[in-house]
Amino acid sequence: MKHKSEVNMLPKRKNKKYKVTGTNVWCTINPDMPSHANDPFFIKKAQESKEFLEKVGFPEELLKIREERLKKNSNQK
Amino acid sequence: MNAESYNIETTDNFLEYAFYSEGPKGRIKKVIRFTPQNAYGTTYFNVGFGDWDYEENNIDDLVITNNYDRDKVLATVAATVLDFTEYFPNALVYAKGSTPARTRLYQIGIVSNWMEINQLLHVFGFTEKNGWERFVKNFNYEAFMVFRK
Repeated sequence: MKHKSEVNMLPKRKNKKYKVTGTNVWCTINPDMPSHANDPFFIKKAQESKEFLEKVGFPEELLKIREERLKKNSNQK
Repeated sequence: MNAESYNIETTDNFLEYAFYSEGPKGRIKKVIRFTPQNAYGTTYFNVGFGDWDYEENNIDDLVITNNYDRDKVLATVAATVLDFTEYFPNALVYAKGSTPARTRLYQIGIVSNWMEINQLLHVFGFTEKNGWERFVKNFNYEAFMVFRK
């Protein structure tokens, strides 16, 4: 199941292979690439990050920038 | 990224990337995952990065590869962050290494590719002393958070 933040974000990429903006790196979309979503390492890292951010909070300035952008985006709709 | 780097592949939901490091130790699969997580009601993505362990069938983030391609690997990881944030421009991305040495590597990766990163991302660093602040070179941070410009 897709996470809510994955839905309705951006138009789908048209090409299966594209150059990453601002780099010389080529990226290939591989729908058969195995998912590591359940890998203990990634689960542990995500949990640790949550504990850390719940302790220290998010960068205030960044939250403001994000909020303004989201507001602007919703006004444009 | 003008630095030498590896080509990457990604899943069709753009939450995972993989590439192969090539060097004296052979061809080593590297996996990067952007895991959605929530703190204080704010959704963000934790970026995790490690080597694929074919024997254990899991990610090993503590292995020291020594494939003599550190800068190339870091430039490639930076490229995955640029790609991810292009696709998810409203996503906050958090990164912290599993050890201080790993976190230091992230820092080296940011500094080495600063020109491209700074054009496209807001970068913040965390220290116990100063809390979150805009990333400054030559200052050691404990964690990082980025957001697409």
